[in-house]
Amino acid sequence: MHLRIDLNGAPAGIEAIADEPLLSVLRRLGVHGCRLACGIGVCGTCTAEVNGKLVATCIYPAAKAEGSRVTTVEGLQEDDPTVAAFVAHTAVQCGFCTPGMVLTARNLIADPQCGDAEVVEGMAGNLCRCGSYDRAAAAVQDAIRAGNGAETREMP
Amino acid sequence: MTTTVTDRVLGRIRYASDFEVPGMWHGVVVRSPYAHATVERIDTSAVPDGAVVLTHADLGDLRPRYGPWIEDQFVLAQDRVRHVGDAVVAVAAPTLEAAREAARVIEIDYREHPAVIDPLEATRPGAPRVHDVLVPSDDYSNFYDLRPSVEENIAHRFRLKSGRGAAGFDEAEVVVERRYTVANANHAPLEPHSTTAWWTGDHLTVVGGTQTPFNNRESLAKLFGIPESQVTVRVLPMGGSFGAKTFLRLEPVVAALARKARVPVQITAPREDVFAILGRHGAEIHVRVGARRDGTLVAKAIDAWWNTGAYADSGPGVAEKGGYAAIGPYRIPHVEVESRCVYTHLPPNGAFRGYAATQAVWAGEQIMDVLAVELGMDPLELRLRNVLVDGDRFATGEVMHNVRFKECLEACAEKIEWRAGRRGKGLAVVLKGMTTPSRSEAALEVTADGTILLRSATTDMGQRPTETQTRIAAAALDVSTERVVMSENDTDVVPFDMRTTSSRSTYMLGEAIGRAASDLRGKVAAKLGVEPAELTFSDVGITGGPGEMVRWPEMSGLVGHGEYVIEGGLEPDTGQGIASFEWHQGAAGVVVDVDQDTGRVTVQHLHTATYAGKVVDPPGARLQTEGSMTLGLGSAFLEELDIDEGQIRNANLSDYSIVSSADMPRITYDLLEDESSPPHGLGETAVPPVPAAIGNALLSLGVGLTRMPIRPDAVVEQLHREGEE
Repeated sequence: MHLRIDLNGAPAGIEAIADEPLLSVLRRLGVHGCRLACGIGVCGTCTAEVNGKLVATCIYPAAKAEGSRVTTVEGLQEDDPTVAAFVAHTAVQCGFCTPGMVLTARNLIADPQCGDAEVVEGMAGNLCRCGSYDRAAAAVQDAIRAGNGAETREMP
Repeated sequence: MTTTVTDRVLGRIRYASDFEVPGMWHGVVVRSPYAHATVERIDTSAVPDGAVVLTHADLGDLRPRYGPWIEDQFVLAQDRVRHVGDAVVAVAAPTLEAAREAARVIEIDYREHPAVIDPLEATRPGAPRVHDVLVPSDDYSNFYDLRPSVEENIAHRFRLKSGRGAAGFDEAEVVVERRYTVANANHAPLEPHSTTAWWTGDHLTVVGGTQTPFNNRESLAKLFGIPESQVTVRVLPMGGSFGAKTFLRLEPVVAALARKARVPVQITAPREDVFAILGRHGAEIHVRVGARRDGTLVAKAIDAWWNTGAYADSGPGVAEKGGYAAIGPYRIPHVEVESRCVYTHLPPNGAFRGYAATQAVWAGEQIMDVLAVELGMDPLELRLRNVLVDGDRFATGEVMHNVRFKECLEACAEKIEWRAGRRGKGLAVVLKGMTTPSRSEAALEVTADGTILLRSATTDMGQRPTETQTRIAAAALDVSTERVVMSENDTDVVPFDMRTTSSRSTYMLGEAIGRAASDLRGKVAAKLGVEPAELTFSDVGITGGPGEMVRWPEMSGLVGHGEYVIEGGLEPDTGQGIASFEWHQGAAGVVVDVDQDTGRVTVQHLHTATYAGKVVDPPGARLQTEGSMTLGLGSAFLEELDIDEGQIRNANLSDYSIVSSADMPRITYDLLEDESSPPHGLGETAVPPVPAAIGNALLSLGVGLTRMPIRPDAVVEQLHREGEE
């Protein structure tokens, strides 16, 4: 099938095979920030936003994304408050899980109802084998305090 | 190849699994479903045209076996499979889907044999033999004499005896003894193993993630019967390794597939295969310690079995280091150790962050608290009475220098308010060796634009080697860090380094880079016709020569070379010699709560103290410590392969639990610095004391556990037993 999505603000079209996961399509479109780790949707490393909702692209069918707005870490800039907070806290070691964490954090922060408990629970789905959790948590708290996470983000 | 923190956060870094080369095919490995079986028949007739199939029959011209310590591994099974997941057939095709489809239609018949899974059973008479021949490797990685025994399924037996050994227990007034066990575990790096290889004539190029590029170059050259100069190993940053990507893993089968397919081939391991490729040794450690009534240690005996699985890999090193780490940093007149690296029909185990010390300290430090209870002594006082200080002799005979075990213990005791009440609190200390002997080289080259190119083989798995080593080079040359650039990591480009393991790189490469800087200063001085001491270096250039300031580009092409070699090693039958040139030293203190009904253990506070020497890269030192503590918590409570008759039932990241952010307790730490000391490796020092400190905290509540990971049902069982007494 021919798949059309809005990828990080630009139209993208690609041939997808039946039951191909979105991750595979994104990688073929040159996205490197979504990465295959667990392959069963439990570790958060392949996280992307589809129409404003977080999805595990390793198990999300590409066909379901037809016509959707897809955001990956490639769509973010250095001045994004969450990105800046992760950099400021050096909340990164090998970096393999980091883009997924950043996308999850951004999405959580965008929800005005989101409190500390929601952040802890919301981030628990992004595994980091290097153990940068405390720094990621501190970065998220900082980004919330900066108070502009929600304002600068485009809502679906 | 400098990757900034921002590059990593924004996903701009390229890992081994991102690598692509034009015309590249994809490979799949067909693995054994049995723990021990004979391969009776392989039928590949249904494989469609356009796919290339590789079996052992294609490998007749290769060296029959390979392995870093013992040559016991096969590229593909010859006639026998030795663990579930042993590689039998490999397939390559232009697309991954085509390769998977081809693998699906291959038929393999097996005849199953009895398998042995438990390491103690494996050494007993009549146990199934895992190997018929055991040939020690002559690779650089194997630097001491091995003591393999085919009949006992033993890859190596490390023995240590000091004083009168176990006979010295006759001087003890109090003796305690326990049997501790540690489960097999997996590194679970989020990035799986990924390797790409191709041949240009007789030249093999391998690109991927590995901590051991020069070991791999040597072993691949031997395996394929070509000179080392015809093998290039290029290393890309790793999405985590923790020991998983050491020595040859996918490299041989990918190189052999590429040779037959005549195109570049890449294999990225499916998650299930990551569990079949390498893991962490399970262990059984029997420990006995004897003391006088006043708490003076007099004797310690350690009897250990390390479950290395079907292939030794670096298991002999694990048996050695685990053998002496279980002694702990104490003055003990009589010590006896027998530590065996044992073959079983499980996936192979090798290096794992904490390298044997995690298991060894679990046993060696919990027995100290058992002894303290028996003596009616404060466990901290017991440790401080016996702990090694500078000038003391360790059981290996070496004299300790630059040691801070006492300070590490004191720092932890203070931070958990030990002296305000010990209930629910535990302490543990670790003595961990750095690979000895060992050798590192580095080069510093002035490039045409005047920047300094640092050539170092240290591989990047997130531990910030670029930040650390460019900083060392810059300081040695009196230029700013921005003036120094890290080169590509390619065995054709960088000079020799033993490998990036054992928390050795900052210390070893640091020394080599310092020497390279001195050499470069000498070469600049020679070019200007003056003595090195007359010159002053800065970002702008060099002053002190005969004329005006010389700009850096004018020195283009000058290369400073540095080499650093440390000698030592232990005699395998007595354990005497130099175990470690510098010691990795740390301690942990923990405060826990136990739910009396469910047995659930809650860590209220975990503190570690690590001796750091001079800290070169503060964020790196801190991140390494935080990561080590997190891994230690996972080892303590979560990580375990669920093994059923050789099958791993939890070979995925859902059923195999690692620590998530929701599991994190309050963690704090001290890095004990000494500006006058060289940097001390700290990439894993804070892992080993964590589980043992938790075990000791539980013992203070009457819960004496011997098996790691700590399971709530085991805690409940101990609580009930306590109630009955």
